[in-house]
Amino acid sequence: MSIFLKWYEENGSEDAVVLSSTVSLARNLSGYPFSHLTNQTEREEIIQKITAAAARLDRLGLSMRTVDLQTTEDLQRMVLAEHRLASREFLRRSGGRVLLVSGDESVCLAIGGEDHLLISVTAAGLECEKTMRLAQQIDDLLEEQLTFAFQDRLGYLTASPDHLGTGMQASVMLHLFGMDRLSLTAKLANTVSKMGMQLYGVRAFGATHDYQITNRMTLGLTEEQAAMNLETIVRQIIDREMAAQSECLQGAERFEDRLYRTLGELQFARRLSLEELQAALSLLRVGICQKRISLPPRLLNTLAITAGEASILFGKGEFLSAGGREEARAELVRARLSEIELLK
Amino acid sequence: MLCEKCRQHPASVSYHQIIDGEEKWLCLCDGCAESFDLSHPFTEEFSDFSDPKQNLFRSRLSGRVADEPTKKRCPFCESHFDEITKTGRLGCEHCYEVFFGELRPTLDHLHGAGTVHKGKVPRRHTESDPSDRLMQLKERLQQAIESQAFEEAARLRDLIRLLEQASKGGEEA
Ligand SMILES: [Zn+2]
Ligand SMILES: [Zn+2]
Repeated sequence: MSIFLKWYEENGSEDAVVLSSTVSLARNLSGYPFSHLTNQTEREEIIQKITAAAARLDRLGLSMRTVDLQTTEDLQRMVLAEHRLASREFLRRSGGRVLLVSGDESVCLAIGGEDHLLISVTAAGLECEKTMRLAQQIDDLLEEQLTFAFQDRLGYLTASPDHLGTGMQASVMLHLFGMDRLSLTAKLANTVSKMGMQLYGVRAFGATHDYQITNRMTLGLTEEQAAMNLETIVRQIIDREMAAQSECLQGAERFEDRLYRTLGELQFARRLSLEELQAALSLLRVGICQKRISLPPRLLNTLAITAGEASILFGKGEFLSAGGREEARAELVRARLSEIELLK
Repeated sequence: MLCEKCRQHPASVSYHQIIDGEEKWLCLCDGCAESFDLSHPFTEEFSDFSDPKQNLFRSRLSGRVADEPTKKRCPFCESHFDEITKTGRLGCEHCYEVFFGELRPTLDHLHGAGTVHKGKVPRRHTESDPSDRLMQLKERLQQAIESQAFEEAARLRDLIRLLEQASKGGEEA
């Protein structure tokens, strides 16, 4: 086990509604065809060059661990997916694909995907600007050694023309319990799409109220503008979500009772399915937003990320039946809850 | 493109969903989008660059290309334009120059007509072809002066001076 505190073990700003922020930069090495047309020699060269350049990241205090998908078992791949270190699409293929992951799992370089390189930086809470700046610093360091495909008019040249320009995608994960309950999310998706953004329902954090909003505009605006635009919209969404939650909970006398019963269940259950855990985390999150319960949001992030089916299996290092996984999950949740100071 | 639900109004909103591992891409009009239940089977696992807009790009291109097949190949990666439309991906960085004319309508649609890059410029890039970039900067300077944007003009003039010095230094090195 690593000595680093993971990004999801830290609290972030606005983190009752916002789970995490991620900024990714797509880059391609000049002089090579895009990934889908490379041969094996070229793929190996690309990996070798980017990995060598990534040694420079120690100047930012980042030491990167290498995960070669060629020699990675399926279970490990699923763990990588549950920890959101790479997309399932990236993890599906193995040849010529390598991940470089920082100790705290906040920085990830995915080599050999749709673009030669995808630099991703993640932080807990609403941190678009902070993650954008770190991604830029990483890009600057790599660029001292690598020449990326670039053109004045079109910016960074990407395999798909969708990402031309900055090659940057900024995303925020949100928990929209109230807006979901009031059926406001479809309308929200519609509104934000007119601003060059997209809202998805997400399963990565489990519960059905998790959404991801992504800024898709890459050409014609700066990285700062893209990050700030997204933060501005997210702040408005937070306000709306808080209002929606208040409306949902109006007259809900039993809410607090349900909240504490749920916490008790997590504290004492001997078996927990992933669905049960996710539903509980969702409710607790609303409790935190509404200041009815005091729990560090980082605890919820940590449980959501580390209690997935594959992570549980991998942590145990042995095969477990569904029942065995539920027991192991309950054990993990009890251990994590016992670490924190629980309420008055 | 018409709304895929009512097939009457132009689509304005695009949804991506993965149902049981199968990717679906839906384009809806405003009206249908409002009534579309987004909360239920609507899941996207990760933020990912293999994203739905690319499918849109692909479908748009394939519609157009069917009527005007082109024999041109990219000299670097040997891609045909119809191969590009099939995969939704360009073959290499040079494809963007080779097929710029063919790509233009799609680029205009995706990013807005005449939109140019405003973000970061790699330091290495200015070093690699300074004359090209200088010419563009001088054009922008002229425009700035004509539109009386003096602050920007001053900024551009400084930048041009810097780059000219840098390129002279580069020749000696
Ligand atoms: Zn419609
Ligand atoms: Zn090419």
